[in-house]
Amino acid sequence: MMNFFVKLIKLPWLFCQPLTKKPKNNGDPVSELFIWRNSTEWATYFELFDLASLFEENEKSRNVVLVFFKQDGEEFKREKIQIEPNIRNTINISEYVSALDDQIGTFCVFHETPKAVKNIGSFIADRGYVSYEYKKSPLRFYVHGNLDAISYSTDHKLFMLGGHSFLKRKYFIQYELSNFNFELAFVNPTNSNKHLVLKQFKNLLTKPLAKQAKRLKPREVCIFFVKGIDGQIASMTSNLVMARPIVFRLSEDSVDVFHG
Amino acid sequence: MPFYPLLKAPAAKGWIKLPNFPPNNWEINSFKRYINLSWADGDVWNSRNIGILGKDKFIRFNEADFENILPPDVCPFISLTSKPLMEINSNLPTLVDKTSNLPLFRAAIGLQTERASVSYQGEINPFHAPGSLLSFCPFIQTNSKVKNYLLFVNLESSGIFRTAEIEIFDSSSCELKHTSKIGNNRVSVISLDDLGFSATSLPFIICREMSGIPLFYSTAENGKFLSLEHSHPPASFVVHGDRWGAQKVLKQKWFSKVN
Repeated sequence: MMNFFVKLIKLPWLFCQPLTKKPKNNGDPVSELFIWRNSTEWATYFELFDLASLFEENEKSRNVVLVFFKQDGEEFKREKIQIEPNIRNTINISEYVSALDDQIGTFCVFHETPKAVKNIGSFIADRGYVSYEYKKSPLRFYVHGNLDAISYSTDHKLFMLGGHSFLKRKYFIQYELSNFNFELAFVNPTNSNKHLVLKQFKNLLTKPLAKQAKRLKPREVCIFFVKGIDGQIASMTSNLVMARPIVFRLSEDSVDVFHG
Repeated sequence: MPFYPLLKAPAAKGWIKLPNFPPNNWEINSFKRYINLSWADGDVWNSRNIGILGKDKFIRFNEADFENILPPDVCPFISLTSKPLMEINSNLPTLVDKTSNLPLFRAAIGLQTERASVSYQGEINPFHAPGSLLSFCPFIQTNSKVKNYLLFVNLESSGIFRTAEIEIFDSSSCELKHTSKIGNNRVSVISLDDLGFSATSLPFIICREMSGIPLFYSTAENGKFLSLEHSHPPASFVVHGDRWGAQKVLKQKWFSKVN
């Protein structure tokens, strides 16, 4: 009986609200909406390797499609790249977006779908590895992708896969935002505008120390700047099923980047 | 509720910062919890209550905090529970606690040098034993100023120590580049430099008898710059459908390629 009531309480949060939707067509590839940063301080790289070849023996090169978006989510460029199987290609993403005035945006990566993946009713997905160079650092700082945000159909159309929540949800970043300055980057992976409200707390029972809000169009990315305070907790309120940011923790010459 | 491992790496010290509040507002409320320190001694699992964490609070632990409790050469795992764990268990204690699932309850798991620190948001639950591992790892930074390491983290139900062999190959040639012994219930550290990988090499690692989390740690300028990230399991290359079936296809293919 208790289990029934627990399930009933969770129903408004779970019913018909997946984290990500299935692509429209069988075999459509899927990608995260990776964040690129490009400025005098930042450069972005992506580790590209042929996912389809991992499943099937293939000696020929395959095509991978990269799509780049401006900060406001508008598509900027598409590139088709030919890659060899089982080879690492560290792609300089900053070179592709260097013509833009924007210093931040998103990009996605679509692979060919091998039969082995189609046959099991799955979709090939790139949620791989972005790295950032900060202030000409001698090494790059890695973060992996997380969300199945966008798919690509055979007639070259893009579909947003992010789920929408009926109720407003709060996502609490389980990281103490103290000692450093932070940049919290959020992407809208859905096909409708979303209102995001970031609140910063010293104590969740008291009024927030600060509040910031932004309305994001589909694929739009924004950064919330947060000054570190001892014991600080931040929450994001929105109709996203999970509003999980990429956190950039800044020190003078270096950065730590991770999923919040 | 999961466990959180204390990492180790050359010239760096592990740290963990635990939060005691859920990552969402709708699954559970937060309440004070007991902080547990657990370690396997090669025979059983030992646990000690090392404090209570209040609701909506953080607590940070460094290696030095456990010096007077832990025997040498064991790996500490931290957890939060609503009741303290028994001090001795033949198997890893099951953490019975209300916890959120979407997303998972995570802590900051990190490494620190004198000049910088780095972390990822993570957790660990016990792996099946024996298990197996396949992971593709494009993380080696071939700049000569950078040192690169694989930190392999394992947790298993049994407190009895065992070892397995990890093998590192080049995907293109399937040439074996390195083998190393790894252990359960601990963090095994393997240098990835001087194995003959180039900037275009795509390494993959396999372990035929043990599963775990492969973490990739890079450091430069005597610890002034640090990077830390884990690789995805093969199931993450697909979404929806039979993801674990896809992982099986990949493991069968790549294990047989190097047999």
